[in-house]
Amino acid sequence: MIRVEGLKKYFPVKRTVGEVLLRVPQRFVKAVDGIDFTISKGETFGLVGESGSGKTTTGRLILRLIEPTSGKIFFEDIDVTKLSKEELRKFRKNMQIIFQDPMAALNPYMKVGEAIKHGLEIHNIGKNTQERKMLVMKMLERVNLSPPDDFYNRYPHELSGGQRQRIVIARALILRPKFVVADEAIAMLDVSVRSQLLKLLIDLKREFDLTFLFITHDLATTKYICNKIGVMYLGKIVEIAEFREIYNEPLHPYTKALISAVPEPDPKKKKKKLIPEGEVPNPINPPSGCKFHPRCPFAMDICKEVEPELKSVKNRKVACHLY
Amino acid sequence: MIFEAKDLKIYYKTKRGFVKAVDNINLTVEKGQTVGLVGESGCGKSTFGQGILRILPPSTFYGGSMKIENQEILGLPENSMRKIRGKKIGMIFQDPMTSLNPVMKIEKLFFETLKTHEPEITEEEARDRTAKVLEKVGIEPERMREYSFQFSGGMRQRVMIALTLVLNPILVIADEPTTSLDVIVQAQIMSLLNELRKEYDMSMILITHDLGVVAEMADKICVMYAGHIVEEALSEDLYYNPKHPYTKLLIKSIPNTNINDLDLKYIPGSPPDLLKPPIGCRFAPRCPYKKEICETNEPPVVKVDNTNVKCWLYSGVEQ
Amino acid sequence: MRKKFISERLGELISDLFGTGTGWLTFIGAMILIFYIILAIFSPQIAPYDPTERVGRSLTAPNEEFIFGTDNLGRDVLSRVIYGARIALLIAFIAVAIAAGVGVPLGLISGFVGGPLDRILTLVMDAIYSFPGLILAIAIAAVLGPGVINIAVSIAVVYTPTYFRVIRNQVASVKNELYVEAAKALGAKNSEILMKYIFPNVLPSIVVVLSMNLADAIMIEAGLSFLGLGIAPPTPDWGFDLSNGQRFVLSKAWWGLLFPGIAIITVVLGFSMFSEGLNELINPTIRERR
Repeated sequence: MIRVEGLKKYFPVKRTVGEVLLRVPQRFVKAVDGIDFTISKGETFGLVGESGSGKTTTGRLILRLIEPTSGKIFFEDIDVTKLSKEELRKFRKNMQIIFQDPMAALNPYMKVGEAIKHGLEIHNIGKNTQERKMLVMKMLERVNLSPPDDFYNRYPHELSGGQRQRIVIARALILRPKFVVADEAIAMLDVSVRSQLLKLLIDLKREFDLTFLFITHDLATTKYICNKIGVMYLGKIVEIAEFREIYNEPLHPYTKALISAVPEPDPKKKKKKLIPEGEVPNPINPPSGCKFHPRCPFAMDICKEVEPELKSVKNRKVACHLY
Repeated sequence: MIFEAKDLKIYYKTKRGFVKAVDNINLTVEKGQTVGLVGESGCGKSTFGQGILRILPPSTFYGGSMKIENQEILGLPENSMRKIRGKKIGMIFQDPMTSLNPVMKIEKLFFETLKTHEPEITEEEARDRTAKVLEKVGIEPERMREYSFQFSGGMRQRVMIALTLVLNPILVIADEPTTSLDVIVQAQIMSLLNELRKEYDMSMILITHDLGVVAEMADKICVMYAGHIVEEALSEDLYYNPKHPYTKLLIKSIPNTNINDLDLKYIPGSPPDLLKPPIGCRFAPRCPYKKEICETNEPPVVKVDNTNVKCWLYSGVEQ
Repeated sequence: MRKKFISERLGELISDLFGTGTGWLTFIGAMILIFYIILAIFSPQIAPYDPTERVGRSLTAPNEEFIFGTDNLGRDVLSRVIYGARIALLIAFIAVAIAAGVGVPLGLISGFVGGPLDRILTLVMDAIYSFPGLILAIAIAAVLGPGVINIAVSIAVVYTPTYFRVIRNQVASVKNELYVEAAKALGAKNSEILMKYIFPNVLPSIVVVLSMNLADAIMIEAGLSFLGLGIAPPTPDWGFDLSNGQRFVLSKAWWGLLFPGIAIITVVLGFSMFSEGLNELINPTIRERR
């Protein structure tokens, strides 16, 4: 359904006047540095990583909200990167996004009902305003904002965080997209509300027959919704596997670290933690070889020089010299 | 006893009336103890943390009593309070970027902080102590000549921790110390805090929304809901034998890494508006075990086993 | 949510207004403005005499017959002040309408499109902006000659860059907001994004600049006619009366100077106070935060 091939996005780093005069070469932040993956129909693909891993950029690239530097994105055999502006605009009906911060994602001066309705107007769904309004009401009810009349005429700042995110979900799904990117969709919400919304997403996924790209920094939530998980580090995918494999036997040292960093609510289970030293390095000057090697407890000499390829090991793909 | 809050009330003023963010809270912290304060946003946990230092807007209403080393803090004039802040009670904030002055070098920041509490300290001495404490938190002492913005998020939080520790406070309040950090850095900071509190024999109130974070560190956990502490128990009791329905549901709704536990639990509804909290139990509207009395009368705090719980379900057990 | 009665909403608005420190300020400002607007609209009914006719002896001191006295040509000062509100407000409103009508669309386009167009427009507007306002207005008024529209145009030229700059900078920042990206993800056209998502978010600042500029425009208009570049006499005009009145101050005829002066000061003050409060009231997010 979705196939990403060699996707790259380099952001130029602004040079100071001095650097321009001294002819310091233009440097780039390699936010996404050549990634490949496929998402089958009806599947939820989890993209996990810390900030700066390029996971959010990847989501935006697939929807072409930003233009890729190179690479191909296929949506049911249509190359999204080749669509013209007008074609893309119409094509957006098929692929939608749920943002992390619902307050920022809603126009503060637009009633939430109108915000949802606008998508219908853009794509000419529904015969007239009356019918569109009906559709919006139904959708509001579906995302558990009932009675919908109560919510239609409110402004975003009059709603709670969870309610706002439901609006954002409704706005995305009312277009009946086939593919949805959920970019940290539940990260900003409270624990109890987070699980509510995760449940809603799972239900909606079944009901609307959706294919999901679920972007998150929190590995623990992926097991409820994702079929396959890709772990990203500094613009590269370091491991892709079925979700059970990732949990049961993470292979890449970074995946191991991510799993052991999940806080454990059981006080008796003082896990042996595999926390790497240091933080994600500056993406302008990434380390040579394997980008994880300065923090990796298993680093070997080869890791400093040769960047490992993503290769098939034990029912999965992993980019590490250990295997 | 290091710290004691008794029937503490903190109401802050808004245009629409008083928000009862902290309403009749009792909490004690023993020497060397870490108390976890867990709750969702808007439950009053941060108000409580800031209220201890009395750094809330001046229109805030305080009631009840709050003691640090048997000294009453409420009603203390501002200049005496200033001596307590930092020196006796230290605070680690969520966002280290906004709580560290960006135009001061780290060494200057430490010198200024030390000077407020020890006016006769020399720059030499301050630098020595800064170097020592920076080393403790895992930062090379040479970096004290840099500015806070030259540090990464995790490093900044380490500086913040060092800045709190340099004054050797009796009690440290850590308000969501790792929330704005990445998962791995989060784990690093938590384990650092854990080591330091043992080394300094520090008492700590750890405020967080993440039960997983406190469970790894706290001796005692207080669960806050809508301005009340609904359950107070030792960490293990709380996890293995939660009493309050809210705690039970909260524990079930935390995602863990156990792959066989794929059943997603959640608490329906949302927390009440603290301008007009429910008359009876504040959790009643969302509670699956709700009885008639829950909606009309505020539940008493009862002791069940070793747990203090504010719920009508246990009112028959012991009064 | 239950539908609210209009009276209920009005009540909420008023309590919102007075709940804040600037509430009274806004209220007083609004009262002053309403007063002058009524004066301007109903001047024929309110004014006791024809402002351009000799109705008494020259330079009569204020008395029962002529409350504000008469000027050197025996015209009633009170009537002239009342009619003067007409010209002052008329020119101010036309000038601000022209300035906003040109500055706002240009700012919207410049901020949204960006690139070379944005750079050129910004350069031109900054060049105009760097002139001292009154001097620029004098120069243009001198070229165009007297007349209501001409004066309004010369004032408008001074204020167009204000609108342009405010709007352009706002648009440039709003353009990067997540909800604009969300609209793009929905498949909205650029024109829709500009009108439905960006414009409503910059509108409050337009309204505020508008009411602040009205005060300035009245000052500049008075300044121009004070210097003899305004409306041709004998049309009643505060600025002209002010300059006319000051010639006779030495002959102890203070009333010819004082009353037009007070009129200018109060109306400018009224606009400033009103715009100050409007600034806080109009923005729902600012209100919510309090």
